Amino acid sequence: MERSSDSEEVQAQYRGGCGVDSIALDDEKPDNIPGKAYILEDGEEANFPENPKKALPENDSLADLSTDELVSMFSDMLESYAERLRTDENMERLAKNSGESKDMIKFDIQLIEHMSDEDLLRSWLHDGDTDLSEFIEDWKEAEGYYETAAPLGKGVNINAGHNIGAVIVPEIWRVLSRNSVLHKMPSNDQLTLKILHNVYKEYDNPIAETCKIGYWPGGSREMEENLFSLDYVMAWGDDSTIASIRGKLSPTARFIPFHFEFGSYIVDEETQESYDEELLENIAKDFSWGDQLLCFSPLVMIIKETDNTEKFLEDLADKMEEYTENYQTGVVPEEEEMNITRTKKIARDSGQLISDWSNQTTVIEKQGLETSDVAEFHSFRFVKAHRVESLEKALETVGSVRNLQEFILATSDERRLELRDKILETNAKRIVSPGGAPPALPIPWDGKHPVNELLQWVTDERPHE
Amino acid sequence: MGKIDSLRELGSKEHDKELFFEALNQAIDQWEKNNLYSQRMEASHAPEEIESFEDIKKLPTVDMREFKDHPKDLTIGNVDREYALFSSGTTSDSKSFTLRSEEGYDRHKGNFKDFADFLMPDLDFMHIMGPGKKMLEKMPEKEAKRAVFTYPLWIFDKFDNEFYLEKTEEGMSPDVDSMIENIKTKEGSQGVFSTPNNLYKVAKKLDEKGVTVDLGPEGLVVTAGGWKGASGSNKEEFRELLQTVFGIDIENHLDFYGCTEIFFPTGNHYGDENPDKKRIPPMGYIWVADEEKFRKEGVLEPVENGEPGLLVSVDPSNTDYPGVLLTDDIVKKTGGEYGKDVRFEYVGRSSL
Repeated sequence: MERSSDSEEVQAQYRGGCGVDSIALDDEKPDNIPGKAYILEDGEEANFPENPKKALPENDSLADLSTDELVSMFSDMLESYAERLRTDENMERLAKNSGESKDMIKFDIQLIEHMSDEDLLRSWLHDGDTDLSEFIEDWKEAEGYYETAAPLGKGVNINAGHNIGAVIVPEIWRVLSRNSVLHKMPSNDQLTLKILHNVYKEYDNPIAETCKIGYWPGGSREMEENLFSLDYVMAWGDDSTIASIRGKLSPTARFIPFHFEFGSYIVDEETQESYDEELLENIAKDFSWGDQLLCFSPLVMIIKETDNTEKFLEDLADKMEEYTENYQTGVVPEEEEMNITRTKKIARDSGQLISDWSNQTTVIEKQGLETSDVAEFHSFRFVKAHRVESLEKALETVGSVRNLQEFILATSDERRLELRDKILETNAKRIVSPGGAPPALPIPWDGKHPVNELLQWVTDERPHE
Repeated sequence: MGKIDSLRELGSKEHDKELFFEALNQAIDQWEKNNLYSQRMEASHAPEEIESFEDIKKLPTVDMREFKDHPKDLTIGNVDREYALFSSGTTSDSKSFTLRSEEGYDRHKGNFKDFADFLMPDLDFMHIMGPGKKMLEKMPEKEAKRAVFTYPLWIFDKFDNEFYLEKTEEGMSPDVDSMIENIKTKEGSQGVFSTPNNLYKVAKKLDEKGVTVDLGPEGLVVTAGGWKGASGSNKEEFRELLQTVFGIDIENHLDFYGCTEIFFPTGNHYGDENPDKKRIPPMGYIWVADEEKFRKEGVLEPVENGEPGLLVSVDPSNTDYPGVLLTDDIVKKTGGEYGKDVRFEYVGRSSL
């Protein structure tokens, strides 16, 4: 590349231009705020300000808190939230609103209670061996420089809204990283976060003060361009939703997307020879949590073809159905019900339906696994088991999909070690055992350490002793 | 294929119920050569001989989506990729295709030509917003096959015609200016063909510019395919636009309904009052299944006449794969007398 005399041109070539275009861009106010948009103020639906970004409070009060103060305060608030969700009235409303069964909602509430544990909250701040709270609270000496981690500031979190438990996770991350947030409620669930708002308004503290909750119809371009020029944008949704948000994002806003993900089971020969009730129940649980609408939900099974495969799948089908007695299914949308019926009918007509037609859960088998098999899935307690000659080859096929979150290995220990290195070459971010699909500990999500993503690392490189 | 060919030789003007059953029984013998369908026939309660329309409703079906999952498992005899037909993608996944034998391809083509001839008036010129042979020849084979459905090439070759689709950096785009200029210079009755979504966009632009054209005494607008991509449009507005821009009455709008998996087309006759009410040619039959019953119980049962439900097509002229297809389209069927007043109307989609 030749140097030009025009500095702007040179900068453009090397660094994308010497003008800071986003300053003007980020100052733009929307000409039009949709009529259906609102923000919650003291339990009431209020209009967004003319400049929607101004609805967000500064995060200073939160940033001043120590981790101990923050965790203690937040733990209490999460417990109150769980308690409020559990009232008979709210259970009824949540079931009606979300389509989840009461069993599913109870499990979500237990999860929130579990996450309110102070030690567990603190552990979100651990990134490998690094305790992020030490960097958040002070400058730490590194090799030849000092380093600290500052909150990004203000941001927006676009919720997906298919699960009550999932709503609280981004709230935990933003609190621990000391950022202000505007949570956007999804159009199909404007209740779960309203309950959180009603709990928070009883608290006069920095966590409650820095949390705003609102709604606007998705795709409101001008409003979203305004809000997506905040310091950060976190978003949950399918690939097209994420792509749409990316298209409206200010070039300087930090984007933290969580797109559609799924898990894949791998069942080896030995497991099919020596399985017990507990293993089957763990598999059934993994395929049942949240009706398979969660990012860790297994949506496909790879099973080594053996003489025992038929029996194993029949037993699994029985266990899947049995588990609905403890963990009832939610409402299946009509369109998905039709898709499942069609797939079941094709399987039945082709001799591949393992479960009984009248079951609420489905287990079907298919010979082999092709790329097209991992392009479309069914949820709502649906197991599609691919009988394969080579687990390694099938693992490659599933592992080539970027949306893969984890492999769940129902295998011998020896086989697990063999497959682990092979899995490293795929897009999987987790390797777990049966029953371990839902993350029990704070772990990277979508390959990210989320609290770290919400921090800005700053270095002091001046000479020091 | 004696009876099947006899059925086709009927043409589109008259229906013959007995001949249809004979042809269907002959076709079923062929379909049972497919292992998958043979197993389904065994497991079904379908009679060995089809003697009534009630019998037809007991025949096992093939789900349209099976063509995407395992198209090769559904074929019978010597099908060849050479004769594959690709979906246009106007209503669903453009990647889907169905394989054909040479004989099947010719029959499919013959059915379309014959029925289109019956439905359309004589025209002096046809303007086609689709890729012509010259353009398709320039494109890579795979891309060309998927570029657009093949039917316009079959059914409009009897008229003098011109194709107006160009490949630009943004994709396929009709050369509307050339078409308008040509319409103005031609005499007699002219026709314009496009997919509804394309034609909607074109008509809207022309209307905004205040452009109107005269297609002549028996001027015709022909559409086929779905509405996907035509966001913000609705049928009533579309029809009004056609009347304004092309100066045609609603009776001069001919709309085909079909898909690559079914060998017979359906459509309204030129002059029919309502383009949404489609006729069924003598070589095909459709019945309508209760959508909710199927969704809940997986059982296909007919609905009352006039009630909406899932369209099942029965297609004896197709012997390349089993021709009893369960679609995911919701339709309403009206009229009672076979071949006379029976019509059906597309209502929507059940899934996908």
